[in-house]
This record gives sequence, C-alpha cells and structure tokens, in this order.
Amino acid sequence: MQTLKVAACAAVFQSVIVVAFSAGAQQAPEGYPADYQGIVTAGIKEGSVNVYSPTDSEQADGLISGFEKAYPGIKVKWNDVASGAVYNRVVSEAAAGQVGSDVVWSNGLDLQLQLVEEGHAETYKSVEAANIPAWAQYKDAAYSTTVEPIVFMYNNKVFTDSVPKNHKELADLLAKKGAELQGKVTTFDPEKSASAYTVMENDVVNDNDFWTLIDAFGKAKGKVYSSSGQLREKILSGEHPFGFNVNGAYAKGWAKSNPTLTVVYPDDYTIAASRTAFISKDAPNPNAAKLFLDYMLSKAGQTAVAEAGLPSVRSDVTADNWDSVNKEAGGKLVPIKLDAALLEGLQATKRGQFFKDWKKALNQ
Amino acid sequence: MNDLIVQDIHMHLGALHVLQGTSFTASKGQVVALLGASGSGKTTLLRTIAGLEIPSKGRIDISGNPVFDSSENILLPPEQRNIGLVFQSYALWPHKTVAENVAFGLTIRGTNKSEIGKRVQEMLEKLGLGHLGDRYPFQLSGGQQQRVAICRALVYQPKVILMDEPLSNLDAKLREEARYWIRKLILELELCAVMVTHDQDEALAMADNVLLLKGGSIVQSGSPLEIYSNPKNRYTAEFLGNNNTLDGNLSIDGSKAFVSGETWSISGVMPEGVANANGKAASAIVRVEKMTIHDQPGPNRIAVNLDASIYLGDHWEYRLSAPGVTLKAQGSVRREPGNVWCELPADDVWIFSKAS
Amino acid sequence: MARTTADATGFRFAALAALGILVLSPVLLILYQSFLTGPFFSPLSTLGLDAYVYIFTDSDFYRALGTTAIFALGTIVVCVPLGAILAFLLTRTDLVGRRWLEGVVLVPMFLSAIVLGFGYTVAVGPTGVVTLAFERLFGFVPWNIYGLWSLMFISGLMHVPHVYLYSSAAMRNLPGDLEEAARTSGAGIWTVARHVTWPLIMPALIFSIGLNVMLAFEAFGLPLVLGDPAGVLVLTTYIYKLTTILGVPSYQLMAVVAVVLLAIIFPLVFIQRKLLSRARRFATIGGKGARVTRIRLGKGGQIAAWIGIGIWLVISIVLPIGGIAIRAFVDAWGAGVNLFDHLTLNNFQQLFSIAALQRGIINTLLLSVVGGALAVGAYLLIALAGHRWSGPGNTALDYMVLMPRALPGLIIGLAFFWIFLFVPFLKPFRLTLLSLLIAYIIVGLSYGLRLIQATLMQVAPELEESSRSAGATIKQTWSRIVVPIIRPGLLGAWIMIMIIFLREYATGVYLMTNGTEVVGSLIVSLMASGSLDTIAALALISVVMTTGGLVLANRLGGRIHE
Repeated sequence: MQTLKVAACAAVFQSVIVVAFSAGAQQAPEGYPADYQGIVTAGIKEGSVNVYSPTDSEQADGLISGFEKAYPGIKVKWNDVASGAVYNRVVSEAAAGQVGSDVVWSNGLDLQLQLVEEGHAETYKSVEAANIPAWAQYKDAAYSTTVEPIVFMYNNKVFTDSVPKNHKELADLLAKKGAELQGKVTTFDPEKSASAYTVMENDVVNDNDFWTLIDAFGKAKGKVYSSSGQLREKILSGEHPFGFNVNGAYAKGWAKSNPTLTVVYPDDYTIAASRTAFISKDAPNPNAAKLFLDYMLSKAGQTAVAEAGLPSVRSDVTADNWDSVNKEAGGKLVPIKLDAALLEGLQATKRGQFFKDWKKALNQ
Repeated sequence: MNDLIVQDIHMHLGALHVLQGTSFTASKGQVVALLGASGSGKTTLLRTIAGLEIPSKGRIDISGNPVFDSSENILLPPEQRNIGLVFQSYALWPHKTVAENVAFGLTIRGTNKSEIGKRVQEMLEKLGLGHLGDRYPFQLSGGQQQRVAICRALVYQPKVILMDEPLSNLDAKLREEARYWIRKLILELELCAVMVTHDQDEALAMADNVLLLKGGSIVQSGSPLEIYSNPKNRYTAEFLGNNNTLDGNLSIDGSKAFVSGETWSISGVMPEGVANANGKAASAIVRVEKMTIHDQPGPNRIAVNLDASIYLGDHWEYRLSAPGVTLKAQGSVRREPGNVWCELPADDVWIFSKAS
Repeated sequence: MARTTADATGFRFAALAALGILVLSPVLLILYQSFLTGPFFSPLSTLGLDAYVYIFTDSDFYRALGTTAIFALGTIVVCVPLGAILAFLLTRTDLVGRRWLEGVVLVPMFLSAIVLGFGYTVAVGPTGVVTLAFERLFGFVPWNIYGLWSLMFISGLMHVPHVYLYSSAAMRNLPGDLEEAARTSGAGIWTVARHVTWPLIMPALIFSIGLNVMLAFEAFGLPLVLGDPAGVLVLTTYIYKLTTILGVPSYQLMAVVAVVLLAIIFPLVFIQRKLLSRARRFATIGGKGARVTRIRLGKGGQIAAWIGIGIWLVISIVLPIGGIAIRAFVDAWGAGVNLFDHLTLNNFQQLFSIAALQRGIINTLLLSVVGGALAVGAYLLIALAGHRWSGPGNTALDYMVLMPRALPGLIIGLAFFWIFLFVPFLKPFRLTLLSLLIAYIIVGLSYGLRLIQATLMQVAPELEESSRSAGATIKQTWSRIVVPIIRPGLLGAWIMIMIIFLREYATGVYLMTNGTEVVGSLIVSLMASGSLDTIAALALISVVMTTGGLVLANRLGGRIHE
C-alpha cells in the first residue's frame, strides 16, 4: 500500500515536473505514451525532416502544413523523387554513406518492401499502428498510407456501348465487339510502370480469367501508356474512349471537373493500390522521421492526405477512407497486401513469365 | 651589318622537302625579292622568317639576334622577333578602327596612350591616311587597306619588314604607283625588306636583290639587272622577260657555240659552260626586245616570214615564222608581211641544252 | 605539330584534360558498370559479361536498334536539307520578313520533345482539333501521327533549328563576291547554292549530321509519345522498359545499352573527320573587310520561298504550339467537344498554386542564364584549346565532344548523381545547383562547343598571324583579336544554351533535391499525376518567356547573327 502510494506520488510528481518543464515546449499528441515526449523534443532539436516521395508537394501540402503546425520548429523538406528513381536514390545514398532521406514514401509497393528487406528501413512500430489495418503494415517497418481504388474510366460522350460493370463483362465486350473497338481501349503499361505491374499481378490473383481479358485486349489492339497524364488525355479526348486499371483516386477528381468522364468500380473486385512509407536506416533526423511517420498515420495526417484526394487507410477518418471507398466499390475492395507475395513479384521467374504472357497477348 | 641572315633553311611538309637549304642575307635600306611560281616555296620561306612556320634545319638571325637555330635549339615565337608583316589580304582586324589596327603593335608593347596616338597619326599621315583613323576596314578601298596594313607593320619601328605579295590585290594603276612609293618608303626609313612575289615586274622594280626560287631551292640570285641580263640557267632565262626560243642542235666551234635548225644557225653564249657534246639538242633563248628586223641577211640573222604586224599602242609586235620556228619581235612602225631577216645579237643569245 | 611555337600548349593540354575528366568520368563509370553483375557500389557485384549476354540475346534489343537506326536516318533526311535551305534563304537572300523569321525558327527548340509531341496529339492526333475539323469537311483523314513515318517526319522538323543554327553561322560570313561572281556569269540561284555556297558550308553540315544522328539515337520524349501507341520501340524506350521488366532496376543492362550508343560514335566521328579533311576549310572572316551582299530573289522567288516556309512554319510551330495553347485554355477537348464551351483559366490558376514552382523557376532561370553564360565560357576555353591544333589532342576532342550526346539525359544524370555521391571531394556540392550545372554543361557540350568551333573556324588564320607578328602572344591574340571578332557567335551560343538548359528535364531527375528543383522536373511529376493540362499551361508560359527572353537578348545586341 505504501509503495503504491509512493509510486503514485512519484508518478504525479513526475508528470508535474514534465508538464512544468515542457510548459512552452511542444507537447506530444494526446493519447501517446509518455516517453513519446522524448522523441518530440529530440525531433524538434533536429529541426527538419527530409521526405523522398513522387507525390508532389502540392498534393502533400495539407500534410506538410499540418505537420509543421503540430510540431513547430521542424521544417519539412520535400524532395520530389520520381517513382522510378526512389529505389536508386535510397540504395546509392546508403552505399555512399550519405543517407539523405528520413522518410521514403512511394507508390512502388514492391520496391518499397524490397528496400525494407535489403535493410534500408528502420524498424519502428508506429504509435498509430493499432489504427492501421494489418494488410497495410510490413514487419513494423513499412506502412501503407492510402487507399487508391483501381477502376474503369470511360468517355461517356464517345463510348456508346453498354458499360461493362466488371472484368468479365469487359472481357466479353472486347471479345464480342473486338472489331469496332480496335485501338479504342487503353490501360496502364505494366512494362513501363512498376505500379501498373503490381496491380496486374493482383488482378491475376483475384481473377482466374484475367488472361482472357488481356488476350481479348490484345486482339482488339488495345493501347498502353506509361503515365496517368497520357491515360487521362486519351480517354478525355475520346481517342481511347474506355480505359481500365486507372487510378481511381485521381479519376474521381478528373470526373468531378470533367463530366465527360465516368468512373466505374468493377463489381467483381476492385483493387486498392496504395503508397507506402518507411523510415530510412541511418536517417539524418531519426526522431523527426518518427514524428513524421506517426503523423502521416495519425487521424490528422490521414485526414489531410484524404482531403488532398488520396483516401485514408483508417476507418475513423471523416474524409474519404477505406470504408467510404469500399462502399463505392460495392463492398468489393481488395487491398494490395504488404506481404511476401509482393516480393515474389520481383523474382525473375514470376515476373518473366508474366511479361512473356503479356507480350504474347499484345502482339497478336 | 646584315640585318637579316637566313642560313641553310630546310623544311619538310610531310614527305615533301619544301625548302632545300635556302640562304640569303639582307641589310638595312635593302629590298630582297623572293620571286617564283606558286609552289616554289617563297611564301613558306617568308613565313619561316616570320616564325609562322618552323623549319627543320638552319639558322635565322634578325638584327644580329638568332631567332632560329636548329643546332642550338633556339626558336623564338613570332611575337618576339620584332618584325613587321604585311599580308597579301592585308588581314586588317574588322572589329577595330584603322587607328586601332595601326596602334595594336604599340599597345601590346605597353607604350603610353598619348605616345601611341601621336605615332599612329604620324604614320597614317605619312601614307596619306591621316583622315581615315576612325573608319573601319570595310569602309576603305583596296589601296587604302594596303596602306593601313603597311602602317600597322611599321609603326613600332621593326628593323625588318616582310611582305607577302603586297601588290597583287591592287589594280594596275595603283600597282605601278605602289611599286615606287613602297620602295621609297623602305629606303627612307632604312628598313630591311623581304617581299614575296610571283610578278617579275614587281621584283625587278622594287628589289635590290632578287632570289628566284624553284622547288624550295634558290635557282639564281642577284640584282635585277644581273638576273635579267645574265641568267645562269635555263629556268632563270625563261622565267624573266619575254622570250623567243629556238630549238635546234648544238655545235661547238672553238670557243663559239651554235644552235642550228633546218635553215638557220645562231651563235650565242653558254652560261652553263661548254659541257655538252656536239649534236645534243639545245635551245637558243633571246629576249624579244633584243631582236631586230632587217631587209638583208647577215651574221646571226635568220630568214623568216613576217606574218603579221600587231598594233599594241606603244609599239608594234611582229609575228615571224620559219620552218620549225616561230618568233616575235618589236618595232615602232608597221611592217608589211613578207620575207625579212631578224637578227639575234650573239651576245644576247643564251644557249642551254634542251630541258635543263 | 604546332606550326608556331609558344602555342599555349600548356593551356591546351590542361583544357583537354579538364574536358576529359568531365566527359570520361560518366562514360568510364558506365563502361565499368556494364561489366558488372550488379550495381557497382554493391559488394556483391562481380565482373562478368552477363549483362552483355542478356542484351545481345534479346530480340527486342535488336528490334529497338534497327528501328532507332532507321529513325535516325529519317530524321537526318528531313532536318538537314530543310535546315540548310532555311539558313540559305535567311542569310544569303533578301527574303522578305527574314528578321522576324530568324527568331521564330528557333521556337521548336524551346520545348521538350514530350511536350511538343503532346501538342501534336492535341492538334493532329486521332481526335485532334485539326483532325476532327478535316474529317467534318472531307469525311476522312489522310494522316496518322503515330508510327515510325510520322515519328521521323516530326522529329526531323523538330531538329531543323539545330541544323539551321550551325549552317547559318557558317553561311553568314561568306564573302558575297564569290556568289556574285557566279551569278554574273549566268548561274541561277540554285546553281550558286550548289556550287559556291554548298562546299563552304559543308563542314557545318557535317557537324550537324553527326550531332543529329546522336540526338536521334538518344531521343526519348518523341518516341514515347508518338511511337509507343504504334508499338514502335527505340533504344531509349527499350531502356525505360528494362528498368521495370526485371523488377529491381538493373543498372548493368542500362549500361550495356549506353555502351552500345557510345560505340556508335566512333564510326560516326571517323567518317565525319574523313569528310572534313577532304573538304577544304574556307576561312571566311578574312581580312578584306568585304560587306556581305544578298542574292535577290525576285517576286517569284519570294513567293515560292514563302510558300515553302509557310508550310514548314505550320507543321513545325503552329500545329504543336497551337495544340499546347489550346490545351492550356480548355478543360476538355477531343471527340464531340466544342472547345468554346470549355474555355477556362483554371489550368493557369492551378499552376500558381504549386509552391515548388517559384523555386523551380528561379533555379531554372539561374541555371539557364548564369549557368548558360558559364557554360559558354567553358566551351570557349575548350574551343580555343583545340583551335589550330592538329594532332592527337584534336582527334580526342572530336570524339569526346559527341560522347555526352550519345547518352540519354537520364543516364547522364544518373552517372553524375553517382559521381557526386561517391567521389569524396565532390560530396559537398551534390546538394547544390553546382552539380546540376556541371551535368548541364556536359549535356550542352555537343551543341555549344560545336557552335563556337564553327565560328572560330571562320576566322582567317592571317588575322591571328598578323597579331602575332605585331608582337602579341597567342593568349593576347585570343583575347584582343579572336574573341572580340567571334562575339556575335558567342552571344548566339549563349542564347542557344539558355534555351537548351531551360527545357532540360531528364538530367535533373536524380540530382534534384529540396531547393534545387527545376521546372523540367515539375513537368515530370505533373505527368505522373495526370495533369497534362497544367503542363500545357506551364509549357505555354515557358514558350512566351523564352521568346520574350530571345527578343530582349536580340535587342541588347546579342543577336544570333552579327
């Protein structure tokens, strides 16, 4: 009893001291463990956090300003690194002993996991880990932060056929109307975009007849493009009135500003792509990195990202999130899990086979 | 004292032996002409003196200083030889005014500004260009540009001036005048001048010493009078003047040499010596102006047919022919076509073996 | 062997060595990488020919190589004659409106190939504005911008400004009396062009051909936009695919393809040198100070010339820039769209909300204007080092100059990224604009150095010799005589380098960090997020700014001509 009382007094005393000392200094967010304060103080002393990401700073603006407001004294240094360049930057800098990144946030999921496997990520169980679904976490190192549904998109003025509602209907349409649809259907090129490949890899898992679809696509001389920009323009202008495997997070925004475009969530399954973040090993600002990662996964951070058009991976966020997207997808939202399967996709055998089949289908 | 000594200069361009041991000297108040056809090496020789080409062997002294000596490994760059060089194309710098062009040599030598201005103006006025200082080269006539080039080369008072075909870009009238005043200028300034030319009139009119070059060697050198009146070899005889050539057979009679054709026989001198046997093919060469027309036969006269008289303003040219022979002669009156005799004065006839 | 002594040999070798280091470092790194089984910085990599085996047994590689060769040939066939004719008309004749045209000719250079390709799509693509109108009027469309033929044609047109710049630099100083002599003897204008002008500008054309062959081989943007949809694969898009097909980026494979590209240089430069050694080099800034006179075209000639130029203007400039302009001001286009219903300024507003843009613009301007001047200074030093210097040094220079052009921008950027990362004393500079500047200087080398060399060649040797005889050292001759004379050429080179640096994007992809963004990189990330309309707005502003800058520079006396 005595010891308890002493312990309680000590605890109160301690928190009073902590409060007294940190009056005027930055507080750890509510509900965080008490020792988190140490990270906060250290992070503020570090003064900046370097983020490598292909997401442009404009889209991340809410996230950045939110973080800087939450932790005044830490400047976010955003580095615009193209998806294809992320892996190289991290690996090269590490090899030269000049790690420049604190947080790496990229949509190239398989390569992000590969970087974790190669030891470039710091193991850190985020304080928000409990609020993040299991499929969005990898070895307490990498965390998926968004839900980006992969959808169909078409030009409702030019595309006059009955709109396919799922992958099977699409395959049937292509088979039946292959002649009229010659060169009219488009998708993201897996040969040029790693994220397009990852999505299609998951298509194969979710759809036994996916290769039938691709086969029909090839027969109908479907066209492929390597950037969202081109894809959008081709559908918008009616050059290719129908596209599949389009990033739904972007597409929703495009359709809002352009009533010509209509988005369809395939009702057999809708893949959810994502962007994954991890803290770099030997990061120059390890504490600030932790603060930033936790903020990205926090309610505030996730809201900011969702409001910028990338739905949150949390269910307790009021903006677009997993649940709302799932509803739009008719409950058929299927995430790309952060697991060994992604890494398998990097293996020469599996990948090589995919591309062999792909090329065969497209070169008919 | 010799201001310029050029000694045994050899130069190779690849496998070509373009200068084969040329030597000459020149002193102040003297003009040396390097005369020759194109490819004779005359310009190359001039450029080696200027330092714009590097010979493989030999020695060059300018104003008593060795600027090149292959045995001592001495080789001065052009800027240290203190010479003036006038190019055939004048090479005036288009972005500088006339005054700036001329002032360049002084500016480089660090002369102070007012001194430069004075000397430049003096030089320009000396050559009649005093009012053109602020013009640009493209605004001047050819003759004016040439004079600017000369001013530029002389303003820093080099001891030796080199000129590459100085008159070839001028029209005929200007050329005749330039021959005279350039030489006058050189003598007046007591310069030592070397000029390259392919034009024998230029060489004869301007030079004190003429070097005739062929294939990189000096074929004959001497005063203009010497080289014109006493050619020592066939090339020299044929290069200068306006000639008649009679091909025939050589025969020696005592101390006299004769060239004979079908219907004629002419005696003359043999500058290369009587080294040839009788009967060898030879040519008799005589200046056109030395030939005279007569109505009677006589010693060293050939019977010819006067085919035509051609009027050339200041004289008549007679076209003469005989079997195997065509000749030209000059006179002040028109002559009727017909049979005449033309005399080739024996002392003025040079006999060389064919293709010597 | 130097013909005179005191030839600044020390300086020449030093400059050559500096150039060698700058050019050969990335080249040697890439060469080394090609013989490894993994990244060069990985301790697991070993020496091996695996990468070569992979590439040389890949049928796609040969397909790409063949296509690229044809593509290069087609580009040359289009751009060289057109560029030369244009240069001839603008510099040697009294073509009406040539002053204005001289600025306009360069406009295709202002934008990167991707953007221009996109402009063509909007204008004459399958659902392009012009295409749809044509179809409405005539019921069919006779053209297709996708495919190898269109690719070659458009690429050729895009390269006309390069050929024009070199040819006009050479033609500008031809003494008019040569041509006049030909004309007074009865030769028509084309005979004059063939027999008099042509031999004198042949060196410039030979340089252009060499440069444009390499440009075609490392072209990426245009084949991506116009070739991909038709399944046309070139070496650069082949490399692009390589990085994804194998999952983890495989640098050794990219390096092998880069080595193949480099290897192409050697026969190219060899032929170039052979051709140039036979063509006599005519120095035309001689000492005679003759005024340049122009050939009179006559009324028929003017009309004919303008019809031809008009067609070229429409296809090369009006169509793509018009396409960009249209896209910048609308929010929808294509089939069934009435453009006037969709006019908007939103794309420009979007642009101004991008925070990184301000930084990007300042950096880009800094790199282009100041960096461009520094680059020209560097090229001048190198050009002087090789000036009138025959021998192995000059030969080495000829080969080194084209090497950067053989490597696609992305690979050079990558190579320099590694160099700045791993070379100890360069580390502090990596995160500054300096690393970008050095990479850019190498990228612009083939353009800038050649232009300055061509101008230098025009200076008659006598102008330098007369300076030496008058007492000036070779360095004094360079600074007081040669450089002032070629100043118009230098300013022209500066303008061209500025234009090239402004539109450059691939080189910076790896080198950029927070604070060193450039506008080109913004375009890359905008493309990835789907905002081609914002790109169009940015491109339009870029064209306007560059044109404005050009006009200003012209006014300030820095005309690309004298």
